[in-house]
Amino acid sequence: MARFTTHSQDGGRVPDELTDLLARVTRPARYVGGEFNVRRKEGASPRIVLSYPDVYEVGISNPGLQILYSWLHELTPASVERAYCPWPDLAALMRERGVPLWTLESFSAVRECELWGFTLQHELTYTNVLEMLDLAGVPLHADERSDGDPIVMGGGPGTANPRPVAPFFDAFFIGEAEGRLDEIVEALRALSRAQRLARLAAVPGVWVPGRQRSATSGDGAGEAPGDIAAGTRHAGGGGEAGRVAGGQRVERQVFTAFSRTSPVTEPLVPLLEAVHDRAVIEVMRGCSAGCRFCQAGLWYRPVRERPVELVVESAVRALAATGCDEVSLISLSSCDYSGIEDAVRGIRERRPDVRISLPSLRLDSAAVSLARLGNEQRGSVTLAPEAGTQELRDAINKRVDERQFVEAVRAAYSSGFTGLKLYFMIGLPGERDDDVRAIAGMAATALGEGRRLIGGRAQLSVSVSSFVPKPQTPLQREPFAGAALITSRQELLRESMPRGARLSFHDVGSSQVEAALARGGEELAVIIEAAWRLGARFDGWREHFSLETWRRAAATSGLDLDEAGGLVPDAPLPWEIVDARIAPRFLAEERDALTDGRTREDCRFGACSQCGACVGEIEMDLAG
Amino acid sequence: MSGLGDDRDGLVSWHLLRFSRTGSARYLSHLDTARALQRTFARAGVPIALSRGMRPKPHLSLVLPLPVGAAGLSELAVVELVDPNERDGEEPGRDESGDSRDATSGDVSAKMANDAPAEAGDRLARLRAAAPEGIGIEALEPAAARPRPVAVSADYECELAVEPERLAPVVAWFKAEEEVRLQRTSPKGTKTIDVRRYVRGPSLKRSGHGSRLSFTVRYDATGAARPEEFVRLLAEKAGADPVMRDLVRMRVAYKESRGSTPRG
Repeated sequence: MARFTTHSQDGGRVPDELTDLLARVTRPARYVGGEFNVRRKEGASPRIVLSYPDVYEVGISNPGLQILYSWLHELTPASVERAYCPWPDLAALMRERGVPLWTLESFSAVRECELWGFTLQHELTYTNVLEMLDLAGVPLHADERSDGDPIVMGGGPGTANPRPVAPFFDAFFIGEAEGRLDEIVEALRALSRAQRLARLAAVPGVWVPGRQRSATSGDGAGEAPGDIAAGTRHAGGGGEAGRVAGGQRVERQVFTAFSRTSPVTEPLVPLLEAVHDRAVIEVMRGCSAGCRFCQAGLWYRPVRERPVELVVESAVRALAATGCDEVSLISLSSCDYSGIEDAVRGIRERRPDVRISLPSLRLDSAAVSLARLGNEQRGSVTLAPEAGTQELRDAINKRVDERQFVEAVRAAYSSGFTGLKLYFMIGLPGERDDDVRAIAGMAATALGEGRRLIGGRAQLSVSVSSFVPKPQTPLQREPFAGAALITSRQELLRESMPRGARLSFHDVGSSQVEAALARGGEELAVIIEAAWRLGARFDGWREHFSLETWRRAAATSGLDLDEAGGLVPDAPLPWEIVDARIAPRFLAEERDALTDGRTREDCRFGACSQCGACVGEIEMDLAG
Repeated sequence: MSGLGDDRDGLVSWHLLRFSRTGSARYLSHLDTARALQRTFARAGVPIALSRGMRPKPHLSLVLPLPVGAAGLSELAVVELVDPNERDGEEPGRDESGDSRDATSGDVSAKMANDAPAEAGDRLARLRAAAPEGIGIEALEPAAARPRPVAVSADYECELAVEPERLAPVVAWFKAEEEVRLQRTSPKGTKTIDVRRYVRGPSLKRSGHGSRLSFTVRYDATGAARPEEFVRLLAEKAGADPVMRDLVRMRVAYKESRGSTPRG
């Protein structure tokens, strides 16, 4: 009879009470960890649990969580574990049997940790946050939690406007946390939950809703009144009602040492097939291109680049540690990284056997050629013109002209790519029917070029999303176009598209909910909770999203979903609590440029735009 | 990266990999297990040869799939490795100048066939260190030619939440029958399987969860029963929860598909 091997690596024994559960659900490997490069610190404290509020295969690929997991383990004494959102089949069984949400590293109850951190990447994960809180046995509302409950902290780009989920979180970290991890961990060493919260509130970048930083005493006694909800339609109008109490704002944190620190080279590598299956190296943070709709570009300013040598060495190490045959050089616009060609060539020399992928290609032929250099087998390339006419592209500051577009298309089809994917948005401010028809025109141009160059092998797909105005952007006050208009524009595009081009649309209903949640105040929390109680989960998944559920949720709360997230003109914004380090004057100028046709050049090549991101020691840091 | 072509016998060699899958790794699918092994080899710096064509695939295949949720103590994979005599860190198929190795240069074939014990031991240690939790690398055995093992039989054990007293009559009934048919539904349609043909020697012991069931599945040219089919059949007949726990494939007997003697 065979025996277990003497070199047993079976460090992740699954508890008996979970094996029965796991025998009854799909993809049980989602819930048991055991990845390559998993880390454990037995008996360490404080205990931190990190969560991406989506299913494992999505969450494990998130680079932000990988950074926090790695850095907290390596650089702090904290124990760090993870939990992702259980799929509905497991969630139902957990509730039926009273099994609380567990961590992947040790199968411990999540609620036993000191700090539970959620990364808020987009609004359609908010109901999953509630799902996970409930499955863990943690009260949904922060003001209902007591000493036995973990501190629930939110982070990530969703903190650009944390208001809609503020009642559910004890704290938020605004901005990049790498430079404050020691302080956060130190704060968790306090003896009581109240003391931990008080100390966290003193960490730069941390916002504790319901507390005013100036009113906190050292031992956490005597909570100050909560911040006044800012000016939304449902908060009683604008004007004086929206001012942030006490004038306190939380400054977005910028990790100024980014360029001097190594990216994660021993990331968690799932055994289960995940959304992305490649080593990831973050080459650059921030973007100076200045697209006026883009929240991430401004949120992560100023641009900071890692040195080429560091990128190449890190990529080689990450490939060895992961066993991947592909490395992705990620950033918001990797082709703008000043060392991109040297980095690609450098990695190619050290590892000629691997593919190098560049997400978010700049729309020009040089970028396309670089993409081909990095990956000779890949069959398709993605370009994002975003708008169909020069006028509209100029309005959103997407500085791409027809000539560049055609050259990039030709470069794609003539360099071996057989497939081209184009991304566009509809519902932009000032958009007319002709702008939408022009999208079809660009698709026809692209397909025509493809067929001319490679004949019938040329494939084209066009993906169209709906513009959702986001906080902390020049377009933050622009209206969401609405379901009716977007639907009619989709129909117009369907009628205009050339034969042979595949067309896909982002679901309008989910865009509507996203638009409501993105700019809402704390009144949206009522709708979020109502939607969750009505069964909303995994709203980012087409097969699970239900607009009707959200409408009912809004109605039960006495609100209209079509108006939720709408702003009172000239009133303070719900996200005023967050100082994004972007000058209001800059946002106003960019907003005005929407209608006067002005474009603004990339500040890394041209004049400083005075956006406000570079102040003191915080400045652009380029590799070349 | 293109494949190495048919004239690559001097650069690559076939091996049998013996491994176990336990702990949290038991919840992987067949494809996930294969992928985990491929990644283990890559992390260990033991390159697997690739197929030809636009999308090269590593030459590693698992002989007998394990059901999701099952541990396996005696698993086998066939893998084709690139020259094991290269120095550490050297890229596969290239010498110091970066040129592709010529299959005729030096006594490559002889080196390939007589894998130095020290290097083989080092390679095994690297594989074991690179493997994830729950994947145990037991042995890596060179083969003179491409092995084509097929399973002959496999011994299984599992736990069922039912007392042996309730299950024993069902087991006795199963043994007494000449045929026991069930319907197997798949995307290809439904077909009838005679489970009795493929399952031998079921026996019971009391366990902490109810019963521990042991049985052997035979594999032949007509197919086999799936362990979960057999267990579900018994459990439903006993009026018990058909969900099995802790399914373990204890041992597998293999033979070369050309009909040589079985290996266990």
